[in-house]
Amino acid sequence: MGEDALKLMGGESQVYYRTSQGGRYVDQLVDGFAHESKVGYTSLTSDISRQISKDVELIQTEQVQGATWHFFQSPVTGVGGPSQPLPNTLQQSGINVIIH
Amino acid sequence: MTYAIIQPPFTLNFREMSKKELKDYFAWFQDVLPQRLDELSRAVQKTPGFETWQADFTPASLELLGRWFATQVETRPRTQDEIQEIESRLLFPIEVSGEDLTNRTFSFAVDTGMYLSQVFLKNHASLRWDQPFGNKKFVDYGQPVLEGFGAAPFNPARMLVTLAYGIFGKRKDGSSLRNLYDIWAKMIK
Repeated sequence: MGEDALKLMGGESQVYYRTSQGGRYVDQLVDGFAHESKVGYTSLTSDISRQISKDVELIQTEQVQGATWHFFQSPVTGVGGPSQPLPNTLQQSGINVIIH
Repeated sequence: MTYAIIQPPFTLNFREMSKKELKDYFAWFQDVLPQRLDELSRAVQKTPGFETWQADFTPASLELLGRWFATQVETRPRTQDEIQEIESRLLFPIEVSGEDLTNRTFSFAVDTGMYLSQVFLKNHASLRWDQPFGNKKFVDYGQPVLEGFGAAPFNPARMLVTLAYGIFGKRKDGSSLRNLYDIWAKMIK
């Protein structure tokens, strides 16, 4: 308690935001930055497009300082990463991409 | 400059706090708000170059305040224990910064957020305080927020902490506080 409690305001895991486009669960909030994890091959589907659009809203309303999407190989299939157009769409939307 | 860092008598671990503790926190937040605005005013006016700043609750007052706030954002090294504690909460590996905001910076962020809340309230009669309960994962769960912007409430403390991280990361600057007000003022229903 006291002033040391203040540092807890920096971030948590699985954080829910309300946007004008519906709710958005952010996998990890660290130091005001949103991090999203995608495991396995990920395509630019309508669901993914909607997630991107919500993240853009969170950035534009300055509820987060920025967003990074992390792509991981599936431990089951050994396949992972974004489909060809996805990284471009993310980057054009101001979202960082890290392929692990 | 002498400045008393805010001392919340709560853990601020909102997800873990009981509803009664959260309601007490809300009451405490409203109770200390006038004193914290006085503390902020004194701190700003004692800073060379900012002596003329007046807490007149106009949107224009956010311009100089924002420039002042940007000069006050400081960091300190995170301890190994703090880094490990953050890493233990991560759902997947992320590089954790070795620096965090100082308690003084967090405190300035909360105080500046309180001032910003008053600028909103004094200039937009449709806004009101609220305290969202329900989904514990909601980013503003149990915290004092302003409602009336549409889908998302405005959490003044959280928004200013986020802005402080942005200033530290050089993504935001002294004009960002006024910009933040303008962005949200356009969203008022």
